[in-house]
Amino acid sequence: MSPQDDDRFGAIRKGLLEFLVLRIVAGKSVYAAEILARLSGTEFATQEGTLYPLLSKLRRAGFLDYEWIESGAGPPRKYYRLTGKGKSWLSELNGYWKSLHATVERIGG
Amino acid sequence: MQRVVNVSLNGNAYVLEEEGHAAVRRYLDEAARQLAADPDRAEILADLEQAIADKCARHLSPGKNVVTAAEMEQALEEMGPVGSAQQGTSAATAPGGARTADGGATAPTPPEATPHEAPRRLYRILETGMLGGICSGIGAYVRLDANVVRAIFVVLVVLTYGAWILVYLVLLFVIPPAGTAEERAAAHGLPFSAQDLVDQAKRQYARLGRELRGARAGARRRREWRRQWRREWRAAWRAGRGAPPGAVAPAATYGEQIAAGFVVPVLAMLSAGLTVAWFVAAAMLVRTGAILGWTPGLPLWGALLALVLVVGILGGPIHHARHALQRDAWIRAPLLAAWDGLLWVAFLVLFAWIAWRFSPEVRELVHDLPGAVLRVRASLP
Repeated sequence: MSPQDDDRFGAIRKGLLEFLVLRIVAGKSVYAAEILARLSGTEFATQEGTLYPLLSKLRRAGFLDYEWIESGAGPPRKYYRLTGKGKSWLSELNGYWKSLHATVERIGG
Repeated sequence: MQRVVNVSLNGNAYVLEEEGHAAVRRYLDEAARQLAADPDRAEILADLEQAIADKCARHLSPGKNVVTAAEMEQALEEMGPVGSAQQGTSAATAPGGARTADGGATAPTPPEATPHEAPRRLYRILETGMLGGICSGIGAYVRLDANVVRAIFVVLVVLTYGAWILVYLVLLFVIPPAGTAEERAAAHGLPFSAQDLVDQAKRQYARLGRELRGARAGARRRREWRRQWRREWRAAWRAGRGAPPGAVAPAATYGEQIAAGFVVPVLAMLSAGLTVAWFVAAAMLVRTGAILGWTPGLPLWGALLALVLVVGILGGPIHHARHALQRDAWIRAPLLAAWDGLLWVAFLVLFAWIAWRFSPEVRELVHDLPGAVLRVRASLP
């Protein structure tokens, strides 16, 4: 069973997808299909139907901004990048993720 | 062999097999339903259309210009169902995986989303109209095809022996044209957000920038164009964010525009009537020293002066209103301003003719103007 089909972990993935998308956009300006390509093959592989509303929500929240950049062949594409607000939110998320990880390692097991 | 449908996916033409067209139509309609409460609905739908178009384009080549139903189905499966971002992201389904959800785990349960209260107003849509955009506007308002409305209009013209054309003319002047993007959205009953304006501006910049780069455009043209774009961008931003303090007064609302359509002819009539009435009263004063049997206790010159004052006071607000309407109308509907001018002249001619027919004083004044002037001078101290 491919990693993304395992619905037992669906709830965890759901919460983290936004985090993952922000991490991808933090690298360099990306367009939607690039984000999907990066995520494909991983547990977070997703589809346009899910990604576009999410990107829109992040843009409305002020974490992302986009630019229309023409591609060689075909219509222009939206290239997303992190805003300042997005960068600080991402560093908060990164910090939270680290502390979560530390907590999980510490407790039990 | 299948029939094909020509569609526009986010502005580019594609030829789809009939079944494929039905499938993408269903997909987009469902997406629109899911996004009904999303303020970026239009933008997301455009993005989805573009993504579908990109996937279909992969299967096209100079020797194959039709997207088959199977190819469209594959593209839609790759797209995945659209879930409102508000509910959180749906669990991912593997591309090409079966749509049948086990226990509904893959697709979010569609919420009972009530569509935004998008205003729906009757406008004339000039872009798709043949004459004045009336039938297009009515078609958009009642959700009928414009050609159906046109056919009905033609039938009505025949049935009323041409009288319906008058109704058409009245509508032409009363119903405002959809000028701004926001009005165009309201003409179709679509919700409109500030983001649409911003997105439009951005998209235009990229597209035209590409054209300019392709054409043998000089650096100066590009600079000019960039300056103009920045201006439009700022205007769109302001419109989305609300006007900055000290901005120009907002353009007329829909109600005001309709009212203007009705009020303008009335004002034209009053203004022309007042002008003629002044002339008639002056003629009566000069001829008989009385206006319709009422003698003002003033010498002739005094009475004339008083008449001018009275007309000035009465006519002041009328002229003010007409100028205000003209100033606004000239930018949005030059036709309205011309209509006002024509009407005023028409009323003037009509009232003047009536005055000539029924007032001997007027006739005498016109026939004997020098004598009248002498009489006024004689009354001066």
